[in-house]
Amino acid sequence: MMLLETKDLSFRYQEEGEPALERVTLAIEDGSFTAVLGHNGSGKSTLAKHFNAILLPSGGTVYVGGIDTKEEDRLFDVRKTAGMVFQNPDNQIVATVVEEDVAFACENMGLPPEEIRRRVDESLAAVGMTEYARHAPHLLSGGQKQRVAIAGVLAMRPKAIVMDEPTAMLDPSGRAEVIEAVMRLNRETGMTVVLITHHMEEAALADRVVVMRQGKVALDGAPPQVFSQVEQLEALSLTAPQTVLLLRELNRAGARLSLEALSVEDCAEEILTYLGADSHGT
Amino acid sequence: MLKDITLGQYFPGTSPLHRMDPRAKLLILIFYIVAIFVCNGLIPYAICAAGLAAVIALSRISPKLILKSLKPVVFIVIFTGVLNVLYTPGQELWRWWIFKITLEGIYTALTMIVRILLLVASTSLLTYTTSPMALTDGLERLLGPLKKLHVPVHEFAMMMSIALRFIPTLIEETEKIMSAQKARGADFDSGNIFRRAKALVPVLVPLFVSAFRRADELACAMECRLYHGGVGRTRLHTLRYGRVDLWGGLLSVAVCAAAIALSRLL
Amino acid sequence: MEHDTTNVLTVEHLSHVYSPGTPFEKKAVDDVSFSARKGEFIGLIGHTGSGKSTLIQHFNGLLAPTSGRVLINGEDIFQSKEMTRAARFAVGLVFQYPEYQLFEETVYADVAFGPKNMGLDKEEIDRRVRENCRIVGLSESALDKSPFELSGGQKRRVALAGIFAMEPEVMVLDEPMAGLDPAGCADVFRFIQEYHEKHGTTILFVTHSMEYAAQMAQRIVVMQRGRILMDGTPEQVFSRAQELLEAGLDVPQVTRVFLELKRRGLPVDTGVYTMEQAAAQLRAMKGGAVC
Repeated sequence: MMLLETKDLSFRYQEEGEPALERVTLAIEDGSFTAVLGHNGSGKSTLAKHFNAILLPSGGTVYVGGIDTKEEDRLFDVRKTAGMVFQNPDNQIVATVVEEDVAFACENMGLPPEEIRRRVDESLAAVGMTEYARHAPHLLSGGQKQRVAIAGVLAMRPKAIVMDEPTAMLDPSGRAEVIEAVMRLNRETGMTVVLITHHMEEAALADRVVVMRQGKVALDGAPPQVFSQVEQLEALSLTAPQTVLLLRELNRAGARLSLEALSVEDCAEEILTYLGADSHGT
Repeated sequence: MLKDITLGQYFPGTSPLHRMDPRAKLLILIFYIVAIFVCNGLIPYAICAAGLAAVIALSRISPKLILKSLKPVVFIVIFTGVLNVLYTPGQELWRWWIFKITLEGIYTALTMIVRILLLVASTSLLTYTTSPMALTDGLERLLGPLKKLHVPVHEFAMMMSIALRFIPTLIEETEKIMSAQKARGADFDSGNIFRRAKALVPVLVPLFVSAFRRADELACAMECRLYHGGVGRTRLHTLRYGRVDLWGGLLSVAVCAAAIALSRLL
Repeated sequence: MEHDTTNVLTVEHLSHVYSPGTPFEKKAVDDVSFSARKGEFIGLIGHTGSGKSTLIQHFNGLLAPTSGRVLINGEDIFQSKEMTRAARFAVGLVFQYPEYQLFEETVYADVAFGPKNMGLDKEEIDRRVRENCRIVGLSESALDKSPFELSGGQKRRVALAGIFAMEPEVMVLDEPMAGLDPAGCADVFRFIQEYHEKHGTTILFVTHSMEYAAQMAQRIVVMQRGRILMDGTPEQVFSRAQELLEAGLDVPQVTRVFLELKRRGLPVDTGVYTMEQAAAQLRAMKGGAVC
């Protein structure tokens, strides 16, 4: 099933201005983990904001869980289906206590307190923040704040989480924390994840990578396929992960290695076969 | 450092006073304030003061902190005292030029001083034992009936709680911007008051710009989490009156009533 | 004590304790000694909370050490008020997300803020503003615009130009690429290098990213828990890649590939940190095996 879908989606911030999105047609499958890459101004954040009806299309249609986002009276259903996490962790935390912040969406939904309690505990556990339930958010690290923000969205029990550069303001360990939490959600609960990012290594962990340029989809496919197209990526002034570049460097010197070995382990494996063939005599 | 300022001056604890419902505490405080302004005479005030002392002891808040809370009103206390002593007509005890001291003056002055001190001490005790969030919550619910008259009670409470949430963030940001401008040679510590005020422009402009950006982003994030005002909203923590509130309330009312009754009888 | 005259910036046994004597007491910097030579390009690396941000605020006297000394050209910057003020201008400090400090009505005025505070004359200010705006790729027509009209990446450039225009002897940049997209990062990277080449300024570049540090710096200083953990050339530092990982730092992917190869029993040198080094080493191994 397609959970999020755009059909010929176009968007302009100003009526006369350049289109931020131009006839984008994209379908995101239920339970998938999709990374969206691209430079600033490529339209990737604009796309993300359409999945939550923060922006409405200038042309074309966006369906979230089958609902047309233009249907005003179903706005809350759209937002309950696809929860949104933003870049700046500070500016999306409302309450002075972590658990009260996680409860915020449930409170707005008018759920009974016992149900809110259950969902808050469940959501905090899902991102590994249970022990911080009674803490003040401003004393947490960036990665922790971002996990609280994710929990706040999870409490709505959405089918998808759309994350607009959630790691851009974090340090490497904060980034790792957030990505790990997101991957676990995707693997263990089948949560559909759309991750907008600048970091190739994060995108490499997804099932699917969509590269945007000037409001259009430039590349789309599984990470090994997308990242092995080194020349195309360079033309988009993006760099492939170092693993791919290293293997390509060896290929230039006559080796015939698969550029699809993205992870550190796969790349090492590939190098071992390259060397192993004659250095170990096996 | 700016960060070290304690906000709302809340001292977390587990005393019965800390555990009380903020609404109960607010109501008792209101009743107490009425009592100290209605009372008259030495014994009723002694009862009020003793009652407060007992509650302070119960809260396990150091009496030193209570005394500290009285410091800012020392000037007002002296000022009203002196005015009352000198300008209350009545039985003259002493006179010099246009000044005269009367028996009634001394009496009114003392009453006023005691009232102010009890008022400030009891209010401080409330803020010492109740977190700002709980206070906001309590106020919102106590004033709830006003919503029917279209008073935006929920909105005010939400604004209060967001302010409480962002004060530490903005303080931190102010420090950062000040350091950054100092690194560009800005000087905040010298010159007369006008120069110093002008020197703050490089801090205030970025601070406002950032506060507006934050407000914008926060509003968007709140809407994405289905915020639509106070209608139909429930809460994770519902306030519930407990036994401690019942007994606390009854005792306080009894003490205050006794003080008022005595001042009428005597 | 004798000072190497080529040391522009020296820190001796510096410690900094926040909120001493309270329950919040925290030793952020713990007995750090190090010096930077004229024209050196140093990468300062550490985890959040490693004390690097606290350390760099001592270099221009924004923070005073709890103990220890900070010397610029051999002079203690805390010996007098005048010296501390002079240190502000001798050491330029670019904070994280510097675009959030912009406040003037025009780009020109904002870049001129630092030079003006230095008390320079009009012509000199004008030269510095124009020259440094050029280095960061801001066109003449941008100078009269309001900085608030610009895009995020453009604002970052204005903020950088603001410190560049002070033409300090030592320039410290705290995460100057944070939050930018790859193209923005590459731009900032280039501006800093260009400025370094033009002025021969000593540069201290604070980052979480080993990758940037490896690309730019001649020397890398690694901080952990308020102390200096490593100090040396990129080769020396990366040869201890395993320790870097344990310190919670992000080593380049190629280095991690080599660590993995070593773990699997291949006798590789894990001190590699660029693609070229890695490929060269592997080709040599392959070639060696053939011979």
